[in-house]
Amino acid sequence: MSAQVPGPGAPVLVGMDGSEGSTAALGWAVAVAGATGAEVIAVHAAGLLAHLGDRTVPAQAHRADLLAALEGWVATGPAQPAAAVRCRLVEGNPILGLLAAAAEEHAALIVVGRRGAGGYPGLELGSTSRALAERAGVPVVIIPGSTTGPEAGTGR
Amino acid sequence: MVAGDPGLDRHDTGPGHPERADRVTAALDGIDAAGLGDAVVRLPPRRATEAELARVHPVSYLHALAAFCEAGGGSLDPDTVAVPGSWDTALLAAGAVLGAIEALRHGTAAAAFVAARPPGHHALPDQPMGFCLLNNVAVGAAALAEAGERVLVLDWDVHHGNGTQAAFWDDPRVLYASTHQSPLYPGTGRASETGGPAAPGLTVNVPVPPGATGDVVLRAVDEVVAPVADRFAPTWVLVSAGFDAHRDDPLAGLALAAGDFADLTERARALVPPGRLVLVLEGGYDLDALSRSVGASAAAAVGVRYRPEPATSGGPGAEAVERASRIHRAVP
Repeated sequence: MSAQVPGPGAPVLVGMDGSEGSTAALGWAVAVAGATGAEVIAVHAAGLLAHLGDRTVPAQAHRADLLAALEGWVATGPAQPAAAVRCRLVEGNPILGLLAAAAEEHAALIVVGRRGAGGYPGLELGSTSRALAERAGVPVVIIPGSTTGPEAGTGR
Repeated sequence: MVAGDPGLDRHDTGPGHPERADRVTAALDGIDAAGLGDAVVRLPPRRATEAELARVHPVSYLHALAAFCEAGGGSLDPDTVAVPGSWDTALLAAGAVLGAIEALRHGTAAAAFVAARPPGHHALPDQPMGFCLLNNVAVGAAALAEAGERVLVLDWDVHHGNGTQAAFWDDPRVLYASTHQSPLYPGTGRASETGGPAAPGLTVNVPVPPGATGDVVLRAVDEVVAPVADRFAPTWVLVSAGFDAHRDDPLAGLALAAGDFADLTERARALVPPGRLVLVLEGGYDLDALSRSVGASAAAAVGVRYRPEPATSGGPGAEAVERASRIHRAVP
């Protein structure tokens, strides 16, 4: 797929799952978007299940809780947001959900943490970030994060 | 005929996961409760071969998934988990579909119900997702298509079967038709998704809103799917038989009951001659609802009326059905 040239001020999309890596990705996106006046869209993919606290629950029945969790991750992320951040839930797994949101929002680029948002630990199919980089029609920025942190803040 | 053996199930998704081994036991209990007696023949599953799976999944994906399981497994996405026993269990699930098709071709039974897991219809050719590792129904449809058959995959799981749609998007040998709740995971399955350039109109999606009842889903089959199926003239029908559209299911919001699944099965049965109908278990996460629904569906597959719950009606969704119908009438 050839990369599309985004319009001026096109938003920056960030994959968020509450992990350390995705928080780092949000910080990078906010800094870059702040310099250009672009909007940041924090996206969380609502799968079939979610972990809320120590409970595994159907994600669909708890969409409001998931959105609140996303807003909480954003609120506790970069200390001084330099760009507007909008929160958005999408349906599907992280890879397909982020790709669909990027297309719908005409995003300039996608930013994700290297760990988190699911992924394939130890599986040579590639991580979420690698799969995004292979499939996205816009640039994908992968922010290095902890290699010892949790895989994801939600999901199993 | 019933294919599947819960005794061979080693796909342990862990405590609290709704896609669990008890689902197959509940499904089989439901068939027993239907009182079909000698009409039920048990078919031990076999393992799908790499060549059979490679009709749908790249060999590189198969090797990677097998290696991942062998190395101990882990989380594949926020919903999907694998353990060392998952690979063999997935081979048995896909193989159960193939075995059921082979048995029907030999005249063993009038219809088959495959009670196996993990489910398959979300599995993309190169990516596991939504509890699914291998796309069982797609592997069966691909085998039939390669043998020269024309296959209708009817998917009434509450979630859209994005993996099956992707596998046959541009394949004129397979008609994929889905009724599903929208909005809902996986976010695909709009009515406007009608197939690739080589298979125009051979993908049929009827998304219905939360609260839709059985009469709405039946209308979708009668008014949208059936006219396309009549033109396509399938020689086989494989059903992605999810039962999570049941009103008691915890993962979705449709309002069907066991009697509706009997009605849907009767519709599927009417589309092909005897011995050419295979129902493949997909979702369904409330064990009691699953048991009742599978019993009603399996009975209807062999022409027996068994309805532990009556069919439902009165929910929303008529406009969604009419919209999908308009779209498919306009497909050249």
